[in-house]
Amino acid sequence: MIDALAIDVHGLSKSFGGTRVVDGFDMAVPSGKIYGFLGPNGSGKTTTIRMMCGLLKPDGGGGRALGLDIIRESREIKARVGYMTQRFSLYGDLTVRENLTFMARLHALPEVRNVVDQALDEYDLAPRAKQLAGNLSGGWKQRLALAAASLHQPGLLLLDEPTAGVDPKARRDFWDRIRRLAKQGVTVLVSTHYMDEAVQCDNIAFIAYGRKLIDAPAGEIPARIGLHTIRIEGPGLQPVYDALEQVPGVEQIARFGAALHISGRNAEALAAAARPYDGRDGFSVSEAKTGLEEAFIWLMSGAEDNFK
Amino acid sequence: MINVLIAEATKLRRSLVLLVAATPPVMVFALGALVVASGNAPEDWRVHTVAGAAIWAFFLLPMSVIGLTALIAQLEHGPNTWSHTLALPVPRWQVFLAKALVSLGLMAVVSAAVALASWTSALVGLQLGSEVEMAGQYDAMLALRLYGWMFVAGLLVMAIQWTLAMRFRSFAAPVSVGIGGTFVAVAATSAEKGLYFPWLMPVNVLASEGSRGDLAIAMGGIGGVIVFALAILWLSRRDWG
Repeated sequence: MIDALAIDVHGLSKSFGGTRVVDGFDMAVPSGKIYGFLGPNGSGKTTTIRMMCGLLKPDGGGGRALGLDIIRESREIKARVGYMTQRFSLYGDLTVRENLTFMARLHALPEVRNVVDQALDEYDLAPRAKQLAGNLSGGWKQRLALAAASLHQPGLLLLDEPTAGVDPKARRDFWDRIRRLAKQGVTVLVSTHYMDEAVQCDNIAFIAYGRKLIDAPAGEIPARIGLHTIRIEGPGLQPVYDALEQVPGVEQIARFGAALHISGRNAEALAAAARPYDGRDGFSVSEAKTGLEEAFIWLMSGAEDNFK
Repeated sequence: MINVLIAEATKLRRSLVLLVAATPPVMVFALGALVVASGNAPEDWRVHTVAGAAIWAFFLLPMSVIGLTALIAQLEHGPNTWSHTLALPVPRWQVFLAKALVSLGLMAVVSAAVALASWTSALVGLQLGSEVEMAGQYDAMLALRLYGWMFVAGLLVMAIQWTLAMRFRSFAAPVSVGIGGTFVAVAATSAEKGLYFPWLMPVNVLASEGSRGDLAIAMGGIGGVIVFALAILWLSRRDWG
């Protein structure tokens, strides 16, 4: 029987040295979905992922991953989950083939050679099979890491910032592979800082200071927050920026190239704040669609820093 | 467990660990051959064997332990692979036990290689130095006994160094303790309480009083097994966040 939820955790908490890194975290991830996990550095994403894959024991809360209890059945979870760490965690002194063989052996897979050959073909790694992993470029290293993480055909992939520091072309290839895996029924929980990656997820959970701030389909997040955005274009934007900072109704200002995006929840107040610039000194004012980035920055600004 | 052991041994391929493991026997062979050839070595096979074992127990064994355990631990600390390794479906104690066994296995190989190098260096030295002779016969059993008991007596030092190397990301802690321990061992060789100092236990195998040697072997061996067991248990239970 396939569980409707690949991840179902409640009230997860974890502290390190007296600092609560994750605080009452809930998450329900439907099977077969790509779930984005966003948040600034140090927000608790990695710790949460590590608790879900049985690597860390939560101080409080609990739940299930692939129908298994994350505390009592962590070993079974590890056998059915593919985990890719933030940094390349394979062995640089071993070749691509040796790294995969090593992983296949630790997963006690039968017919190791066949499994490794298949993975080499599937991830286009065969021409590099004899190359030392340490000599691969960032994109190829991540491809190898994904091949290693999915070698045992896991039902759930936990990917912790898998494309950090990888060039755009390699990132696109990587995401093509993630989508392919999701199409095969694999649930993917992926943490990322890149908004272009976040919008490819079916759902997004945003976490800051160890607490979840929102959990919704990517396209619905700006509307759920109720954030409106106006774009002001023109020359010499810094004085406008400084002036608008003091205006009621303007909750957030962000530069986007030669334009400012001002955002706020009160549409009328926001429009009134922007109106004086419309047509003045070469400025133009237009309504803009609130993007994920604006939504997340706004969410962050309202989050309480419980780490202080 | 076999798979974990093979996997741990696989990690050593092309690593600096093997280079460090090769250094003591190569040095013993090269220097031993030169010293014997120059005529400055003991002109007796028994003295030659015991002198070689003493150098091993005093310096090379603790230094090799520092280097090998630190580098084996750095295979995980360096690329930060702990979270990856421990997220694999293998009981943690097996991972650490395999690491301990690989470290011990490597130290056993280095011990044997140094013993062999000590013997063969003399053979080569005798060929190179035309007027040099060695009295008596080479006693392989003596060498086996000395190096074997030194390995057992050195288990406690190995366990201490291994634990520190696994626990701390930086190798400063195990290297500092190792250098300090080796220095104190040299300074306190004849001290009464030196008998209980872990770094002196391998040296005490050479003690003229049989009881001192037996005690060193017993304390080093049993102590080493206990510390290894406790360390594996502790490392398996701690958070590797």
